[in-house]
Amino acid sequence: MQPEITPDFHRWISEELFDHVPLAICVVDRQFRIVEANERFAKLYGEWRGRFCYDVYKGRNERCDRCGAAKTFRDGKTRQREEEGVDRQGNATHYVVNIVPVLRGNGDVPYVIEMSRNIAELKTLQRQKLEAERLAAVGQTVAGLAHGIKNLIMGLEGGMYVVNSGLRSSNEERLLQGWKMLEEDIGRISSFVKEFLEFAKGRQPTVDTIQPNDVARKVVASFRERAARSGVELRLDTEELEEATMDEEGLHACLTNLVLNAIDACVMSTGETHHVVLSTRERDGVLTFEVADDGCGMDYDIKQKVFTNFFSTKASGKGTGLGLLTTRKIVQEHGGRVSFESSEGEGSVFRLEFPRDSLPRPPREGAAEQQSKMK
Amino acid sequence: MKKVLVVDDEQSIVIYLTTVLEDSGYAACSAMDGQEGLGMARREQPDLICLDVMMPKRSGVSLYEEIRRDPALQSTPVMFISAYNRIRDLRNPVTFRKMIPDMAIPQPDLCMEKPIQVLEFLEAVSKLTG
Repeated sequence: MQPEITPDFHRWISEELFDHVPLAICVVDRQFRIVEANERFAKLYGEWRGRFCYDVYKGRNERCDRCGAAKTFRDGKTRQREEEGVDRQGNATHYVVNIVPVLRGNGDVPYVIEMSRNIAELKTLQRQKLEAERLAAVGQTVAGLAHGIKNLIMGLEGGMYVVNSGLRSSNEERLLQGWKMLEEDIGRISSFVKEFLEFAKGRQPTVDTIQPNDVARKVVASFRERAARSGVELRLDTEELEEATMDEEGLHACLTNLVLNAIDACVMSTGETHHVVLSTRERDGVLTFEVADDGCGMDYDIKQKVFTNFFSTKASGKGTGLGLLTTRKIVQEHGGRVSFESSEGEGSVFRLEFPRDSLPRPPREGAAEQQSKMK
Repeated sequence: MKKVLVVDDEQSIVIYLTTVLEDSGYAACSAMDGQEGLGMARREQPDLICLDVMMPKRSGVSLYEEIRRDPALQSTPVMFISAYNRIRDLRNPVTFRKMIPDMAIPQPDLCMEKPIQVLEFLEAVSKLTG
């Protein structure tokens, strides 16, 4: 049997609940005057009787530019907005407001009800989280840089040791060997610093409407011969794709990184002949580029560090460990993501996925939106 | 004369460590990747193996696992030498077991971070080959 709703309970719902919900609620008429409000609203914004909503919420003398209540009066639709205002003590408030029409039978909207929830704390936490992430990224970069420098120091110390050892034992061959080590290491320092600066500086992406398959074709054409010289067959496997708004140079850099890594993985592997396939496809609005190789693959240890700054498994002087990190940065700038699968001794597949919804806007559309936002 | 095998893909590190070892009266041999390192270890039967962590073809961790499974090498001391900060992962039993889940394989005898201090390195070599 259903419990009976007693008159008391009914009264509590219709009268007291209004004051007990954890929301600041007010009723606004068509002149934007507040005609009713609950306790929480009064506590937050102070005396509201006879005042306009824009005055109470924001301390304004006139209606807000993009007034949600006005729109609901016009179309009778419920809407949600994120707004900033000022409370009775003059403190900034950040709130989400739900605007609900009070509809008459004939479709008129004499009042709207505004229910707002304070999200200032949430916003502060979001800001703190962003700041913490930024600091973590800086920390990671500094740690990576320190690691790179440590490597270089060991190279220099090694060179000095071998030179000294050659001098002590009057061993000219050893002396020259040490000197060569020093020369090579200084060369490495130079390219390390250059690449690091390039990465840190980044580049301004130039977004345009491009045919993604053209970029894939160019990359394969550029490296097919080089791959063949290393005993690797580089193939292209494309599906028909619509044009997309992307940074062509950035995409080219990403695919180049992946293809060169795949060729290196094949060279580092023990087998005779190897294959690298760059493929493209689109499913459910997601553009996908895949670079698959049957090279050396990665073990657990290496997989953990794929996107770590300055981590490289390549032989001395061949890699700085920034390639995949740069690739990820460019892909993320396009709203996409990088993933991979790999088995030691069998090969790897690196995948770049770009949901069309998240791709950057073409330049003109972007500029127009920017302007309208500024108005 | 005690024999030490150095496995590192950086030529300058190989020359550095083998020179330090030879200057201190050890016989040194070397390999430039994990695969070559395994063959060299089986052939030379060294008294100590110094391993880098990150190497092409076969990582130092995978090579270490193979060494410990090889009856002829399983008691040969192994010292990891790596610049990578996560050499700490090798020292930490929890992260080590993520890399090598087989409980039959013990943690390495010693892990040393690059850049090495020559005296500290020689002390460790002497202790492990002693």
